[in-house]
Amino acid sequence: MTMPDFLLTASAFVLVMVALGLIRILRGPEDVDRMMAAQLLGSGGIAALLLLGVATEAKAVIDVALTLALLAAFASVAFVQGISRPDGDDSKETRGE
Amino acid sequence: MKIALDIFTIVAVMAGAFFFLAGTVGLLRFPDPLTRLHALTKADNLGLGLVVLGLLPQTDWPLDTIKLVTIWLFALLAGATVGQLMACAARRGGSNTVDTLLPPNGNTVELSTPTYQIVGRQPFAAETNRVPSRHRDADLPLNSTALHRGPPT
Amino acid sequence: MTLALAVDIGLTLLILAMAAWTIAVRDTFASVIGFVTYGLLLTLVWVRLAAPDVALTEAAMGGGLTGALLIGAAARLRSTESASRTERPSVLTRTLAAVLSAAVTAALAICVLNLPDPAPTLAPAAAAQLGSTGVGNPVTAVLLAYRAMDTLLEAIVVLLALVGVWSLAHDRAWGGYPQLRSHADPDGILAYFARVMAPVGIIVGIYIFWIGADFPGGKFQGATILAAMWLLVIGAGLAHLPPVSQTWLRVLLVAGPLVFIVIGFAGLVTAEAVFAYPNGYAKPLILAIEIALMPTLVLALALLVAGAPQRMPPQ
Repeated sequence: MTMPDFLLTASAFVLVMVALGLIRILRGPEDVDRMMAAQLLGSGGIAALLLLGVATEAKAVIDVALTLALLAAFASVAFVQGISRPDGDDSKETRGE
Repeated sequence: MKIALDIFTIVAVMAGAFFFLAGTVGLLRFPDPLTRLHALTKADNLGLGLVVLGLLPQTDWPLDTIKLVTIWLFALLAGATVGQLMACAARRGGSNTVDTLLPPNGNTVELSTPTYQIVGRQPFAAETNRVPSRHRDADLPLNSTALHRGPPT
Repeated sequence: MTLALAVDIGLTLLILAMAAWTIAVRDTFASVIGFVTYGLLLTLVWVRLAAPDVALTEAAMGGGLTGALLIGAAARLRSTESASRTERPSVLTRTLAAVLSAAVTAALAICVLNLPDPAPTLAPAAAAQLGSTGVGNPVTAVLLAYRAMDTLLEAIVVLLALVGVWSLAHDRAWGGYPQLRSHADPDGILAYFARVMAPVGIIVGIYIFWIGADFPGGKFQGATILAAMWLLVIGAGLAHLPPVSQTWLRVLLVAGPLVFIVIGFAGLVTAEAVFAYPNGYAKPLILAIEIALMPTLVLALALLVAGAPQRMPPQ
């Protein structure tokens, strides 16, 4: 088995793993749990993209992974802010207690 | 040398893939949001980190290598931040889950009021009853904060 | 290549399942999470289809900025959601909706099934003329040389959307601050995150913009990253959005399309046609347009996510 083949297999394995995690999106029960599954898919997707990019020597894929890493973090933060401001006075909660 | 680096790649990538497996199993099998968060952060930090580490010998120095390390640092930083924020949201919002975590001392009614509830479904009864005991202590400070905030409006 | 085929089939099934769930679920927040996940999967699909330019746009737009936009919308809808969930549309409405959806799906299916095989392509022609544009990335050449008119209209559409959002403002708040107001603790974890992430993110955004001339990337993707970083800093309470009546803000918003139009119509004099570039000057002119469009897009995208003005303007 050559190196690209191994990396492709690893990419597929990681993808299958995080895709299984999507069952958590279906089951919930809370939105936070769904968010976790989405975040796991984000990290796994980045790992799969990197493996794929190095295996096929497609340089642009690394840039896609870089963009994904930035914007996935942004979306996660926006989401947690969205669900945690029902009345808008939760500023104390982000302090380490 | 080439062989040694390739073996390093294979070992590190396989270890990373294992952490993604562990993260998924944890996310699906652990009983409450806080323990699931624990599983998630392992997959985020170590899984992606080991995959990146394994790919480093296969990429071109310097730009691609720097990009790969940057991606991992982004994931670390975002994982640490979002992990904290999600834990806050889970404790405050998932009141149904947190309620059962608290010791039954009778002073914990505030948390079940709608003020602290986020939009979402009720957790399955079976899930909230399978809480490991060590989380009971961890949630005591939350109880006192909840009392400080006074009656919900 | 059986492994690659298995991955492709798996991705297709996954994305179909995700799409179906996103539509079926009734809770708005859950549906938004489904949509963001769908965007992530779509990024992988575009990479598998060997379209890294589209994948980059999807990663920036689909998952990131659109996700934030929808989350903001869902947060605003929360107060009315429980009320609207109790009422059920009448049988007639539901039947009509079903018929309409089925008709659109059938029309799309017929179109896709009747596509000529092999598909007609202009790709060889575009690649052959690439040298005359001076840029190395064929996608950039299509966007800013062959089909520059479309790109201009796209930038104007974004501005029109922004005007549309602004027009929803209350009379008293007209020209005031957009709603996005942070409740975050200035010493909290989010502020730390924004302080570390934003500077690096800005560098990445400019890099993606700059590399677009020769490799996948470009102004839209770069502008999306910069807008996201700006919103992150604002969300963390480290900065504030300006009131939308500021002159500098409005000048920057119009400057991009204006430079584009001026250069485009100058082609009538210097070259033979509108949006034609004089020989040898194609690359500098394309670069000038991209640099002028960049602030416009960053501002417009960030203000679109921020929403209509909600607070009183100064004075």
